[in-house]
Amino acid sequence: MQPLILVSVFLIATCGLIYELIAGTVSSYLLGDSVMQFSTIIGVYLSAMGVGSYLARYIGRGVLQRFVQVQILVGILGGCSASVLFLVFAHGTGFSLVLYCLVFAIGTLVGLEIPLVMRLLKDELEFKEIVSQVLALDYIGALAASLAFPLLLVPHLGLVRTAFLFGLVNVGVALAFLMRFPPTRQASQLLLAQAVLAFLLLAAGLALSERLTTLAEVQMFPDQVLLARSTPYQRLVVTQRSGDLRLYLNNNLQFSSLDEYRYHEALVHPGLSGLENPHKILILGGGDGLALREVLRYPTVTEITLVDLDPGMTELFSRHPLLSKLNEGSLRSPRVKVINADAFVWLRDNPGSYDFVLVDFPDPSTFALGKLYTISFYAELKRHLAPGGAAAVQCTSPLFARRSYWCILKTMEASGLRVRPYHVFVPSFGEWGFALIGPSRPGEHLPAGLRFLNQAALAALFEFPLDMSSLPVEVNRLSNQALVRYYEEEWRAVAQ
Amino acid sequence: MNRRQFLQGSLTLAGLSLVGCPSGRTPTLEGTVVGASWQRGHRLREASELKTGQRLRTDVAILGGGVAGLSAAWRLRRAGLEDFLLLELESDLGGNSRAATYPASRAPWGAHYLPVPTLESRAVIELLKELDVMDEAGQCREELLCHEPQERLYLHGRWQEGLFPTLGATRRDLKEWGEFQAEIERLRRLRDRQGRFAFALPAPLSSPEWLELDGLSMKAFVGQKGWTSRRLRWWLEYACRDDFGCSLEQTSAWAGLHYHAARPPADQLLVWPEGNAWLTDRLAAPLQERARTGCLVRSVRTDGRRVITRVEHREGAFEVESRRAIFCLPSFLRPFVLEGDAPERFTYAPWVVANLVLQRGDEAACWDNVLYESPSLGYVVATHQSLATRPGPTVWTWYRPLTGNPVTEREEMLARPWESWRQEIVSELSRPHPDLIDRLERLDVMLLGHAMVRPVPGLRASKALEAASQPKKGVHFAHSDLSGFSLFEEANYHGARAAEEVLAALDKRSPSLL
Repeated sequence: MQPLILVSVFLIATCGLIYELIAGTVSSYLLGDSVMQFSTIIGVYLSAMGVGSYLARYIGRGVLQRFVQVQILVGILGGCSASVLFLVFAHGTGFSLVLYCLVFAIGTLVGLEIPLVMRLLKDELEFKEIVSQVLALDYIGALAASLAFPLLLVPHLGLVRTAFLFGLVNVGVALAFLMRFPPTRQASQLLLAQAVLAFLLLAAGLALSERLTTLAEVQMFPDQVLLARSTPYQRLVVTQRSGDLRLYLNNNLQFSSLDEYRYHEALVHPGLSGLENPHKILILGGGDGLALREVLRYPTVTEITLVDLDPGMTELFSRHPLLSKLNEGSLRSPRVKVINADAFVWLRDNPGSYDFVLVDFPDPSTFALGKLYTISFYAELKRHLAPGGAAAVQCTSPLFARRSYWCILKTMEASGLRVRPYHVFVPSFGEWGFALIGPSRPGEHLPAGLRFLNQAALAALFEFPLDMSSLPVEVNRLSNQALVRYYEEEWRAVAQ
Repeated sequence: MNRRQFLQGSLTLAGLSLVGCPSGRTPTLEGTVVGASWQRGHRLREASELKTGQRLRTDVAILGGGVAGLSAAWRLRRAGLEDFLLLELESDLGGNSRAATYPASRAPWGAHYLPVPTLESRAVIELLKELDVMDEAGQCREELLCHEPQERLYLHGRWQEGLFPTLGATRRDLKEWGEFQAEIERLRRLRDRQGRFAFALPAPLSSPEWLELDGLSMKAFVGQKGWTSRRLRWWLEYACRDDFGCSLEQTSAWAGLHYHAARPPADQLLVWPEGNAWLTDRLAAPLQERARTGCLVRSVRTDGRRVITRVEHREGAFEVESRRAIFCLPSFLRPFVLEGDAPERFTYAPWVVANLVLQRGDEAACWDNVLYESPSLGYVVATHQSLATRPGPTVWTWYRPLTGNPVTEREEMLARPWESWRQEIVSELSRPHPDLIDRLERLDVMLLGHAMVRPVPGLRASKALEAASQPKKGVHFAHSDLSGFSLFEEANYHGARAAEEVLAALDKRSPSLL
């Protein structure tokens, strides 16, 4: 009996510390502030172990069976811990409550283990032998865990799989005990069934953990990952941190809910509020529905066409509770028609003129996206403007990518559009630039309920300080893609 | 450097009638070697008496419906001469500028671009203005100019932008490349006392003063300059293979330098999914019944007053009696068709062109995609000018000139089965595109036995080209091979020139476009 028990002590000590480290790491990833997370989790875990050790006195007969039961339970709870925590974080509420309950439960069960093991050995060894051997292996197991966890397990397996793997170790110990000391009574048969079931559950978790580990992408983002999904067009990640929702497309920040109103009010209102009676609106890009939310503030607007490439994006932002709350359900408005198509091709193939056109594409970081900023594109845009119509275009940052910004402006002018440059400060982005086509009096009819723009702020948008002022640049054509080259150079410089 | 096009059909061009459209996805790759009109063309070698049927009368017979023949017809029509008849062997007009049609896109079977013309290519400029490609100010429509990124080169397991292999180049490579460019810049500006450029496009407008370069091979020229960089030599040879189907050794230095020096340093290209078929389709459209396909010209006889052309057609032989004829077939056919006419020195490079139909293109693809030190010239992407931001179904057109001995290369080429070409093409392109076979739906191969005239050393200096361009007893000659290389501009020039000769002979006055 003795060697099996001593090996088990080493293994279960390793498992115990692994679960503690997993809980600390997951909560640090998801909630930030790792000092606080690790301190509180170690505190809760150790105190729970104390509770477990104390509770061990209430276990009278059947120590062996109780030990096996504890192993199965620890295996299940610890094994599923990482995935449960990620899933609760992504889809539910009360993450902290679940976290500390789980830590407390695992801690309590682990606390039960050592006293029970010592009692199993009490007939075979002297007391001083028991204490020294069991505690020595317990501490060595902890060392093994603390070294393997950062060096091997997290880098190669990730958190979710590590948890399942050690859950299997716990259940494996339970099974070994049941094999070594075969059950004679019916209750023990039941135990064996439970252990096998737990083993299968954890093995399935391990096998499916590929899907769950995508959640471990949290490492790339500063905040909690609320949602991560790949569409045929892009990788969408939404993060959340105390009320700040952020959308990343292919790891580029698209907005932060704390300050997106500055961006979207600046994009929409200078142009749209300068029109007398806008009816027909076209939005190119903007599948998050946030610019649309601003457009819907105008009661005269009756017909809005939103063209965004990615159905995954527009569906997500019309259905997800938090995201559709952010855009105030704009994508479900009866005034809106959503079309999922490539904007340039759609524009070329569809006639129709619009009182106001909003162009909100991703920055020109690739040759494919660069096409959407060419003289040919703006010539199409011009064709779709109703007489007296207006348009506003997102044009990247005039501060970080100054030549790119002025290249876009110059390209629009070269296509025969009369353009006014303007910019806004968005804390999560920095200085951001736009181009306005049309109306003679921007801001004439600002709607109620805005959070950023008033007449004074509006006038300031059109002032350009020296470090963002115009530079000599080339016109961006399909045949030269000058903009993509400017953009790449300038943002590379910023990154360095 | 840019690939140039090759032009104007020869009898070994293959017909398009066999190009089928792929019907749905099949587990095995489909495809064919298309066309076999060379077998019909080779009947010219047999002496046979033709039973003549009806005799048609027209002012001008145009023999051959490639770019030269279509340009001649275009030029006659511009002068108001509408009474002509154009005869073409293949079932489609266009010669080397014909195209394949697939559900994903049309795609070229040969010539696939036209550089924005230099000022000397006056007829091309007039044509582009007529087709609304160019405005009165000389600006071309932006959607037709090749979009960036235009060219990339695969070497050391990755793609670099541009075709000169700069990735991993030594200082010496770059120095020699710089010297070459400086030399070209010097040659580009050279003019004789009459103001003619040393290297003009079209080539017949060039000054004869620098013709001693034609006696030298490009390889000898590079050797004289002391350029030893392997990369520079590869790049120069790539240009010769691309434009002429020749190795450095087979290309005259005059022709090899003309490629670079006859155009501005950063020339822009006009491209279409179907390549230059976009142009030839528009030249062919107004001809209607005045162009007859499936016609094998067996003989042309002339007595100075009238020209009798005997034609074999599946519905029966016939004769065309005309006041003038414009012979727009490649010059190597002249001994078989024209009595007592045997121009010398004309040799032709065989080419293989393949169209690869893909479920999905490559997001990072350029228009022209080349593999360093590979026997092929790489591939061009038919849907490159698409405005979509995501890659969809597409067609890649792969080119390989056969630069060995033309006679043996031609025989071996015609003997190889489709499987052998598929094997070569798929394994070559799988290097940069390991997933190619998963995306590839169809692969069709076109074999062109006499695709391009070869500008071998001495061809131009021997005055053989001028001699072959002279009209003979009412028969006028137009083909790009009369310029010594196969370019749209050259074929168009000769077509327009021969048409103007005919107009003058028939007293139809019209200001020259040359």
